[in-house]
Amino acid sequence: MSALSYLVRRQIRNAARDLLRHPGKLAVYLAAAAFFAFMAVSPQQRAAQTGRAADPRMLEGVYYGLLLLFCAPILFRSLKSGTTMFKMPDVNLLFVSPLPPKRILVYGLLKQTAATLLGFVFMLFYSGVLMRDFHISAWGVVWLLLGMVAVVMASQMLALLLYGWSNGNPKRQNAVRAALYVFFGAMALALLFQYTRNGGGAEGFLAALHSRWLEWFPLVGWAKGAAFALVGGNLAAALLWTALLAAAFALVLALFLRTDADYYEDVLQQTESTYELQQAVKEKRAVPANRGGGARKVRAGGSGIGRGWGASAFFYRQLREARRRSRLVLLGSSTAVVLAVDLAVFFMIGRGGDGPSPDMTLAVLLALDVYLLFLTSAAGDWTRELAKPYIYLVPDTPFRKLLWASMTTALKPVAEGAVFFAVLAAAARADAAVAVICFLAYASFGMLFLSGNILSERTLGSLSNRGLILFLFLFLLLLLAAPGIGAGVFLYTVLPGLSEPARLFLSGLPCVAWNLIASLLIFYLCRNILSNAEAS
Amino acid sequence: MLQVSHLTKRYGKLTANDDLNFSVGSGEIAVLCGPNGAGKSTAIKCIAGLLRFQGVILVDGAPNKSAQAKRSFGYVPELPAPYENLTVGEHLEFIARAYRVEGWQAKAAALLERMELSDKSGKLGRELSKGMQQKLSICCALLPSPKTVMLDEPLVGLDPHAIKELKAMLVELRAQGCSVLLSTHMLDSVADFWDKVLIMMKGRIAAARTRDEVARSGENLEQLFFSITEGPGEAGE
Repeated sequence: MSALSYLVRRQIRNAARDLLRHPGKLAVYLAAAAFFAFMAVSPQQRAAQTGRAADPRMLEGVYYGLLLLFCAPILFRSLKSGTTMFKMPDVNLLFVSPLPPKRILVYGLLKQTAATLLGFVFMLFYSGVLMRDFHISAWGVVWLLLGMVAVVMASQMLALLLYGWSNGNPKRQNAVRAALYVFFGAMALALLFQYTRNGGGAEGFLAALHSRWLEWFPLVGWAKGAAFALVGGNLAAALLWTALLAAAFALVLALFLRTDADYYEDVLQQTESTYELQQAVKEKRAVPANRGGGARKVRAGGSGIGRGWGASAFFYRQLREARRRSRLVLLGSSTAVVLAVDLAVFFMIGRGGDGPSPDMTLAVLLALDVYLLFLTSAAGDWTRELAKPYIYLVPDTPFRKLLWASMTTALKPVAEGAVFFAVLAAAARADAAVAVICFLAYASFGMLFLSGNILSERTLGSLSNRGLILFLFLFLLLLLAAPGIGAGVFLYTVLPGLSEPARLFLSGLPCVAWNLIASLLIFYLCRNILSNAEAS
Repeated sequence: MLQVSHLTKRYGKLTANDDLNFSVGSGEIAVLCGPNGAGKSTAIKCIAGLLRFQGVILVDGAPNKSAQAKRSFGYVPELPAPYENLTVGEHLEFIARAYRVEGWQAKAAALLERMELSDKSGKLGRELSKGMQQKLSICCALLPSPKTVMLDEPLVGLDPHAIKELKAMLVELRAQGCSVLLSTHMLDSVADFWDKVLIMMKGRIAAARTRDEVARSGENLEQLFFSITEGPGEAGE
């Protein structure tokens, strides 16, 4: 038996045995699997009862956008640090061994494919929505998932090739950068062209997303074409796109091996920085500053913290750091991205003749923004603070430290909400009261998610499996948010006599109230979380 | 025998190693030292075949990236990182298979015994402390009976017993005719057994001395190191 197959078999066997030795962990995995299975099966029964399917072009657009979201960062990263499909043990033990580098590369590719597939399992969470709203079969969901895996794998291989070719050569790096800008720019132009050609508006946008033009763009377009051809049962088109994708992958692999079988250096930097990052997360240490290769330039701006005494020094220090990250302090590039997504969605749903009213559009965008806030709530100044010892060492009461250290994290959604709903209300010409309640709801959800974060640190902090913690944390947030959302939806359905702005405003109030009360309660209950490091 | 000729490693405009020339003979222990950022780890990674470089590196007469060279050197990395889901014993079995080591079991048992890992044979990589990971890394490097051994800061994280045992192992390797290249900051830990010292500064070998040369000058290793790295004539060889 070859050394590599021994390695793979033993790792799989030991992982399975380890799971059996930890019944708690096994139970959580089984519960998660059952949850996903339920999500996948139950909508099939309901799908028959629901009427017509949602416009599939919307799904095509979202899917294309997701593929771009996976592909573009990987390719642009190739200018700095390459990519990796290996881990540190591979570097330390495999790369220095007499095993042929090409065989090691195949091992890395297979391992990465399996890891990417596992990483995308969370997408199954959405399988219910896909099946119910778009009438997609279970196999259709699998094809969509495989399309994503194919794009990630091909992008990683291409990034490795580009990095190997351009590494340390500014001229080549500029050429790669220019080529990437041209590629993605051409994609945007094609979309714009199709949009105007189809008469603009929501219909024009949906027609542009469905356009064959976009499918001709390598990797992303081909994968999307193949996946949707398979979903639609168009075997000929599926074969064409799959063949193109396979040929591109084979070409990249062949070029890579022909030009540079000595690829160890190309993956080393990224492997080392990923390893350091993982170790830091696992050991709850501060994340290394220069992770991902090449420290980002940070504007020093002014100097000094200026204000704060005792626990409040944490807040003013975080503000100084926030000023260094962004001129707008609590607003940053993520604010701009979310606002752009909001405007794009508004463009899609809010401008058609048979679309929702401006006020309802704002409510839909609130739901989207809260969802994005939910997904990103695991990160923040507060979480970073826990990774350093000072929060435990500073001689002040734990409750004061908790309040001040979490202040910027709580204020960020307030500032962002003000921007989002001022801009969106103006764009949609929505009622001012609806804009105000959306702002209050968004800010209060920020507070609720922060308190959920604190609660999860208090209750789950001692667990060592970070993936498990994240899963349980998101589940906890869902539980915390459910009563407020439920009360709001209930109130909206029982207040049919009022105007829509009034209904939306009144139904938002219990949600805001619940979020604030629950948050304050959690803050109070967890007031001693910073008394020692083991409490979090 | 390790021979490094005109080794240069550049990262864009930064020259991490600038025209390094040295050799480590059979039955010789060479110590690579220098301040942080001097280029020691980069040099060792180049020799281990992990980085591209200009120049020639021969291990037992074969280019360092060839399978022949790789069969004859062992490498202890700066960051020990075992496979999380492989037991200690399985790490050694894997190495034995990859390097085609016949009758490896007895040798593996002896190595584990010396590193006090015998009772940890069934432990998974992820269950090991930093020090144990380092010990396992040393066992993996030595199992194929290499003729050349490179160790990047191997003493960091080891307990006193393991340090004593590793020192004894290095001396035994030398006695068996093995070439040993060791990078370290802990000069007093290697003071008893080094044969050659290579002091690196700003990517270059600022000084290369044998034990006899240093003894004749009346200095010790530490004095030599500070006279080179802090003295007025930093680049004198």
